[in-house]
Order: sequence, then C-alpha cells, then structure tokens
Amino acid sequence: MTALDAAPLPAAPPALPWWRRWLRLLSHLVWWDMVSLYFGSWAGVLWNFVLPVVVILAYLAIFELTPGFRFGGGRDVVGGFGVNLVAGLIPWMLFQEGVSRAASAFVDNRHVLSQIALPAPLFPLANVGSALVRHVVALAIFAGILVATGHAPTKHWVVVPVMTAVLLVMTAGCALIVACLTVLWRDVAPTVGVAMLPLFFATPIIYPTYVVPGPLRVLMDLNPLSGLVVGYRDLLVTGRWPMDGPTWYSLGVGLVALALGIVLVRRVGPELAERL
Amino acid sequence: MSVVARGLGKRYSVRREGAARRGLFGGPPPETYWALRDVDFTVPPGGALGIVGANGSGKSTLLQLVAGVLEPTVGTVEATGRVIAILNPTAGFHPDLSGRANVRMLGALFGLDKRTIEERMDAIIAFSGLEAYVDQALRTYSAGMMIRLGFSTASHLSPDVLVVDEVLSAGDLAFQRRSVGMARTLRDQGCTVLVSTHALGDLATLCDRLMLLERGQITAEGSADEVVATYMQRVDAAGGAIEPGAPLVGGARPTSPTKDVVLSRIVVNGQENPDHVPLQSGEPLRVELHYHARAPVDDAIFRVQLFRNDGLFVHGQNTVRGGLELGTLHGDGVVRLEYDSFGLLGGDYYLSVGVWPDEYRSYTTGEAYDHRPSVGIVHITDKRSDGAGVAGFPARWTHEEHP
Repeated sequence: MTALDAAPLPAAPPALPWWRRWLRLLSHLVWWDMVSLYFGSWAGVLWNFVLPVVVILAYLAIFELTPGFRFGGGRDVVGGFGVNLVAGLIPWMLFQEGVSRAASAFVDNRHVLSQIALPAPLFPLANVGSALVRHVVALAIFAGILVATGHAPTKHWVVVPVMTAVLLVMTAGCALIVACLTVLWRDVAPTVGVAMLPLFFATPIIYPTYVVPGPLRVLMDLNPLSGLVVGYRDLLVTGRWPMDGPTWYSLGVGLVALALGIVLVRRVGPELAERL
Repeated sequence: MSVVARGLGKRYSVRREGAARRGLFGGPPPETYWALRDVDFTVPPGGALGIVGANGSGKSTLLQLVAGVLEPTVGTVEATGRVIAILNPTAGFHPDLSGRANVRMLGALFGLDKRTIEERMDAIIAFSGLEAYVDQALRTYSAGMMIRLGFSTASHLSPDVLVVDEVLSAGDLAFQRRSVGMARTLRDQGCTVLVSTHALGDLATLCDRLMLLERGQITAEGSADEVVATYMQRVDAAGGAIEPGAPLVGGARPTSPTKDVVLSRIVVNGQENPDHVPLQSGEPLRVELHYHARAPVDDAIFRVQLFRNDGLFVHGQNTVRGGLELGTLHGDGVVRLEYDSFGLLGGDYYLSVGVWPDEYRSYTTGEAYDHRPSVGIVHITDKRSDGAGVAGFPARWTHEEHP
C-alpha cells in the first residue's frame, strides 16, 4: 500500500438543513448558468451585461434621437417612445429569457441529473435566477441613463422591487411548468420559443394600453404580463402608482402558475432521470 | 450509515422511436419490463457490498436507486447521510471545464461548501495522480483519467455512503489498487460502500459480502469466494459470452464446490490472510493449504495458479504434476508448495487455489471440492537487473573480444 492509502481522511462537514443546501446549490447553479452561457469566450461572464446594455442603448438611440416617434397620442404619457419602450422591455426580457431557457433546463442538464441526486427544480430556477441578475443590471443601467438625461429619480422607483417580486413569481411558475412539460413532450420547448413572439405583441410593450381597440383589449387585459409591464412603466417613467387591479391579477395568476409548477415537479421529478 | 432495501423493484417502460407522436393520438400503452425485482438487503455502517452480474442484470439500476437518482417503482431503499455516487466515468463532469473546475463543480453539486473543497483540492489531485493535467479541459482527458478524477473527488467528499458503479475496474491496475485501498479506508472509518465491478479480485479484497444479480433478481448472496465461484459457473454455462472483455479472474475453471475437502486456512509466506502478498522477484514463495476432509478422499489434487489481471494464465502447479502422492485424505492436514526463487517479474497477480477430485475431471467438468478463484493478489516488485516482461531467470552477461 502506498503512503496515500494511509492518509487520514478529513472529518465530514456538518450536514446542512435542506433549505440552506438548496440556496447554496441555487446560487452555484445561477453562477454556473451565467458562466456557461458564454463559456470559453474572452469576456466570459461580462457578456451577460453587454447584451442588456446594447439593447437598451440601441432602442434609446433609435427611438429617442429620431424625432418622428411618439409613444401614443400624448394623453398622460411622459417621456419619448424609446424610454417607454425600454421600461416595458426590461420586465419582458426577464420573463422571456427565464421561461424560454428553463424550457430545456432538465434536458440540457441530463448529464448531471442522471448521475447525481439533486433537487431538480433548481435547474429551471437557476435559469430564472441568472435572468434576474441581468434584469437588475439592466434596471440599474436604465435608471442611470434616466438620471443622466434629466429625469429626476422619483419616490415611485422604490416600489420597483415589489413589481419585480410579482414578475419573479410569475416567471418562476411558468419556468417550472414548461421545464416539466418538456420532459413529457419534447415539443413543448420549441412551442414556448414560438409562442413568445405573439405574446410579445399581446403585451403592451411597444404601444400604450389606450390605443388598443375594444375586442383586443379583453385579450390584453387577460394577459397577466400586461399589468406588470404597465406597472414597470408607470413606476419608472410616468411617475404614477400602478393600478392595483391588474397587479393583483398578475400576482394571482403568478401564484397559480407557481403552484401548478410545484405540483408538476412533484409528479415528474421522481421519473426525471429515466425520462431524460 | 446504513443502506436498507426492502422489496425494491424498478419497472421501466420501453420508449420506442416515434412513441411520443403515437402516444399523443392515443396509441397502445407503452410496454414495460422489470429491471429489478424483490431486492432486499441491508448493509450496516462500515459494511461493503459488492454487486456482480452480467451487463443488463440490473446492477446499475440498483445503484442508481441507492444513489437517489431513480425512484423505486415498488419497495423502499434508505441510504442515510451523505450519499456520494459515481455512476458513470463522466460523473456529471462538464467537458469544457478544467479538471480542477470540475472538482469544484462536483463538490458543489454534492453539497460541499467552497472552502472545504479548496482545502481538499490538493489531496484530491494528488490521489488522482493527474497533477500535470488538472488545468486542461476535461474533453482532453481519456476515459481512464476521468474515472481517476471522479473517484478521487468522490472519495474525498466525506461520504457516509459511497456508491461506485463499474468505475473501479476501468482505471489502470495501479489506480485500481489505490482506489480499492481508499474504499477500504473509508469503509474502516464507518462509510458504507456499494460497488459493482467486473474486476472480481478487487471485490474479494474490499467486500465482506457479494450479491449476484441475474435478470433483476438476487440469485446468490454470500462471501466473495462463493459468489464469484457461482458467477463464473454461470458465465461458463452461457459459453462465456455474457461479459465480453470482462477481466474475469484468471479464466480459472468454474467450479461447484462440493466441500468434501475444504481449505480451512491458506497461508502465503507466513501471511494468514493472503489478500495482498508483497514479494520481491526472485525471493522464496511458500503456499500452505490447510485442509479438512470430512470423509475419506483418495483422489484429491491440490492446485495453485497465478493469473494476470487481463486473464493471462501465468503459472500453475498441482500435486499430480509435482509428483506428490497424497494417499487417502481424512481429517486435517496441510499441503505445502515451496519455490526457492519465485521468478515472476513486477506486477499484480491473482492467486487461485483449490482442491479437485481428479486432474482431468477438474478440467472438463469443473467439479471441485473447494476452489478459491481469487484468494488474493501477489504483488511482485522487481529490480531493473531482473529483466523485463513477465518472467525472470538468474542470468549474467559476459563479453569477450576476439583478437
């Protein structure tokens, strides 16, 4: 036997309660998600922040510096087209990125899930987590630009994290649902990708709510993302408290989605490794 | 920490190509089959259970269930404490990350904090013997190197239960021995070890109990010697085709121990438990086979054989060949085989010993009184001057110049 065999092995570190283990794993997976997206590139993790910056700057440059664009007809609309667009785009990007990347979360990580017993929901949640990091960066950049261009920060900005929390519940719920459904039917992931485009236009991101005619308006009001996007815009740009009704509606739908997601994870989870 | 399985079973459904499309429009229900059925066992803390069986016999399914990757269809399996499993050479590694980063990743996935992993990093790398490669991307590693890294990491994560599937038999011989040694150290510290491997000699030195799986069910259970003998008998019955390429111990004849004569003690070079016998090439080797004959036996033949890990039959001796008249055996006694100078060169050799009823019958039918196909490993070291290859003989070079 070599000397190595006789080396005393270190004692086991104390076992952690499950929620601390989950949190530690989640933070690791979020970090890994951000690193692996651009793995091997020179800028690496920094790419996570380049993309939001470029999107924000591009939209602002085009729509703010071109005088022809107006956001609606002027009825209590504050700011130009670019500012209003970006304020709606930032929450949309969190939802869109989180959900569409989570759709393939289990399938993409099958090499790990079939080898190591891990709490499976952490994988789609990590996709949402890394989208949240980019979201916060985008918010900070956007706020910086607003301040730099003469929009004084308002007391409404303080409430943005509440809106983010509601958005997060909705995104996490949908992420869990589509991640589980993709395991059952592989067609779900591409369907989610395709569905994002109509959903984008069904959400008042590039237009103000009041330009939508009657019958389509019902559709828009049923879309739980509408309240959130309008809420972000009201808080960040218009300087108005968002309407409670749509916000509560979004929270309600978000909680239902989250509950459904948890039910699905419990149903699909035990069969995950063999279905992947 | 113990591992307890009760009535454990796993049923898979067969998913054929295109089944998703048919299933959506209501085709026939998917076919199912049981990969594992009615499996019961208990491994106490500090116990080691080895699982042998042909490919597809349910070994991996069983270990995946213990690892918690799969959920049982029926029954329960309880593994308490930190369960660390290496189920596959790739072990959840990421091909683009360096070896070092993968160790961090695996540690984090198994729930260790960063500081603990960093503290153990040097020990992990040293044990794996991959100092020169740890900063290269994993995709440049050979399968053997991945296994070394995976096992090194797993064994340093303070497992309460260590589950190792096949991996032990895939590294090179030196690493196999080191990893079996490590698994034994862990076992002696109270870790419960479950392994499946085709390197049967390793199982014999690590596991106090072996389990033979066939078509998802336990068909033999007991001491390493007994189960290995049963397994090899089955392999032979199937024309040896069950496990292509498996390094069976020795290709020794399969046996059905009748136990009219049993080997009560096997002593090699004064060592009572010869599971690992160190020997310098060219030194004396002495094998003592203590026997107990329950009934009078007058045709017994004792045999000692050495096999290389790849199954090469390197050397054998038996009492008939050696011209030893045993007469009628009854009661207790000892048969000794002595070499003044044992000339095998450096390496590990499986030692196989046994008593058979008759020289020719032992070859043809495999009937044995008692047969220990892998009683231990003789580890031979040599000097450079002993020569190269498998065998060494006393020799010297001379030189003369012709005028």
